[in-house]
Amino acid sequence: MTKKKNSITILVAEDDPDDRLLVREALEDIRLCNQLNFVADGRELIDFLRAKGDYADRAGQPLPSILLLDLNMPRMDGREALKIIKTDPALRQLPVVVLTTSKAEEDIYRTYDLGVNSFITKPVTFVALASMMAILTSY
Amino acid sequence: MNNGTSEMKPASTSPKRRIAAYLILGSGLIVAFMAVRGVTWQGSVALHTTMESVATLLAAVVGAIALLRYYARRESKILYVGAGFLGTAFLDGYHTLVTSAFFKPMMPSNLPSLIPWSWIASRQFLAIFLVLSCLAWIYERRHRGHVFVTPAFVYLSTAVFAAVSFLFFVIVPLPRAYYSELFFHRPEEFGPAFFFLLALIGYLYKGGWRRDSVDHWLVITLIVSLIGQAVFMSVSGKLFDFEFDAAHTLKKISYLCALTGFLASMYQVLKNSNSLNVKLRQEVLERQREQVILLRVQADLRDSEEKARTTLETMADGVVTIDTAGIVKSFNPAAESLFGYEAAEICGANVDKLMPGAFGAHLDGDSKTNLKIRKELVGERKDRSKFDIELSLSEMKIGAACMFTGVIRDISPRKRDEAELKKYAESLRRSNFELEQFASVASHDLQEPLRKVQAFGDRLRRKYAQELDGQGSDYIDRMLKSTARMQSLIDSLLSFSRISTKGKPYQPVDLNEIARGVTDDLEIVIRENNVALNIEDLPVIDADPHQMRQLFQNLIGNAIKYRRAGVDPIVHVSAHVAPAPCGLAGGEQSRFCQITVSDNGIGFDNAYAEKIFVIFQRLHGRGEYDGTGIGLAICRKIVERHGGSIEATGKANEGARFVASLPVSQVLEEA
Repeated sequence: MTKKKNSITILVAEDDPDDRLLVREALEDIRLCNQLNFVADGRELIDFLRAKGDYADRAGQPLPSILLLDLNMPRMDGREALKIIKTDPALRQLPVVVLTTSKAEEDIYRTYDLGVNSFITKPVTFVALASMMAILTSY
Repeated sequence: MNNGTSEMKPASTSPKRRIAAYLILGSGLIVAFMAVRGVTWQGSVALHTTMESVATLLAAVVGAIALLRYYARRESKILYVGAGFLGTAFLDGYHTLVTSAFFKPMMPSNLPSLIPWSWIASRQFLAIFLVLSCLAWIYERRHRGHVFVTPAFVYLSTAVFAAVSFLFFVIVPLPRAYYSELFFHRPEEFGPAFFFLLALIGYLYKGGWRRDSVDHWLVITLIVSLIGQAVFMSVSGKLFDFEFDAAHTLKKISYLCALTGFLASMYQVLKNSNSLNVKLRQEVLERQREQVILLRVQADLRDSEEKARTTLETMADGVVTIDTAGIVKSFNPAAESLFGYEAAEICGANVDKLMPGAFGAHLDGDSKTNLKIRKELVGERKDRSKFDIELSLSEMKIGAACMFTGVIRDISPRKRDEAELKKYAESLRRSNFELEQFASVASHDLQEPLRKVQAFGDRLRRKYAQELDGQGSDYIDRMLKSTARMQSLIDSLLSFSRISTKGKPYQPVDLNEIARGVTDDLEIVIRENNVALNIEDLPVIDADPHQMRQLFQNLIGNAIKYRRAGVDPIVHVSAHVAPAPCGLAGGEQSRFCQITVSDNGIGFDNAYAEKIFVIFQRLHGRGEYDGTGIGLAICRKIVERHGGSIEATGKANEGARFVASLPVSQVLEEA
């Protein structure tokens, strides 16, 4: 079981260090101590996925299993990055979970039909992550 | 100067019957002559003198009447007839005298010559004058307006003819008159007969006999004269025989006929003048009546003119009349004080002086419909200062002329107020917008750190619970409870600010459906608390459906939430549509729906009726009733966004009653 989970790589696009910490701890709680990467904004995220710029060394490596995406980030925000991902044939298959600050915000984004697989309202807790993982692994 | 027409009405007898009468008369006389011819009769000088005296008198009367008629109505024809008869009267009189027993010895001729010749003189004279009367008529008809001969000439010639005749018989010895060897013993009688025939033909040709009784009877006179002359007298064998006296009788009859004609004509004239009089009198009366009406109309006109003038002068609005060229024609006192001009100095000037550039070169009146416009313009006073005016211009037609009346009202105070109001509304709108932005942004940004406090507090409790003592855990619990409350306050604030920032457009909403949805949501609470929820039929109004749902949810939810312990809650929802209540914007045509939600709950003191609508204001401690105190604030905000109002009345421990008034129809889309 652990072995299987080990194969899961998670990319978190989040600029807030507190939230990064909380995500990391929540993932630890559900014993998902696998490969976890963080990027701080949309541009870094795209570079990471396309193995460009600072992430050129990632060339040849597979895409992460899941992307946890915060929409409010500096430089390039989550919405813009999401648009690029969803229009790029190479990236389109990547499951995306959007992190929102409130349930109301989630309701709004749902109506935009951004091609998002799921939403998690911050703070990312053990319970929320666990249920999300259950959904995603069923894909 | 007459062609036989007259003012007389056509005689009742038709021309055909008159022709028949003439023929019967003529042939009747001839037949009578045939029948009685040869009768033995011997008159005398005395009889002759008597008969001729009568004839003289008759001829004089006829002549006098005819001349009277001539002077009443100048017809030369009648002048000749009159003169003819008058002359005949003289000659007849003379004939009577010279043939009387008294004068006979003085005459140079004997009776058998004197009687026929002086007889013929009279007959000849009359016949010629009757012919002349015809000729006068013919001449004057041909030469319209020319008089055949003057009366003086006629009288003179009559006098001369008569005088010549007198002298002739006195001086000249006459030839014999009777020719017994001939068939016609007195052939000289055909002389006058010929002229009578001419006159008869002339009068028949003239045609006046068809209508005119004078002409008609003259024709008869001529027939009788002609026959008397040609048939009777011409065959008289000797003096005073039957034919002789018959001819004398016929002469008198002929005079009588002429007299009848004139009398009949006079009768007609008199009769007509009588009916003419009646008609004239009626016309006079009619005129008098019209005069009275006219006077009354004039008085009314003066009255209304006076009223109109007073109205114009005392009117608060300026009234200016201009013509199509834009020239000021009148200027009332109110206009004087508006513009600072005296009426006298502005009348005659172009309206451009008062309202620069308001009109083109000239105004075109629409020929069909009367122009009527109302617009706001800038007026210019005498001192060149400008002010806002409202001009109502209407076209009026006075006969063919076209004028324009302008009613002018100074609207600069109103304009100023409007501008101020607009400015105020703008600043209010801005500050409102800022407040809403503030609430929205603040609640978003406030959430961020709060969320972290919650998250790390949670981590703290989860990971270090064992390491904390009881008091430490309690602190953490209290801290987390506080953050949870803060979270709900922020959520409330956010939803409150969203009422105006995230409001949806209005659409027709069936409030029955809304109430049903709310009842479904509250189903569990209703069942658990044994609530009697009674909802009457509700109308359809223009509103934001989501907010209507919020409104009903909050009001019904509150009614259940603030129930009295031990009393089954009764909640009543009703609505009725009424005209706009006082103090609310909206014209008379806008109707309002009053929604009432009343309960039998704990109620409240009316002193707090306003306070309960203020955000985060609560009448109860959190220990008793849960909540942030946002529900009614949201209700008020929703109702006010819809242009309505909400009020609450309550009585402690008896119940509360909320009345929300909402416009039934919304006109403007909210910006």
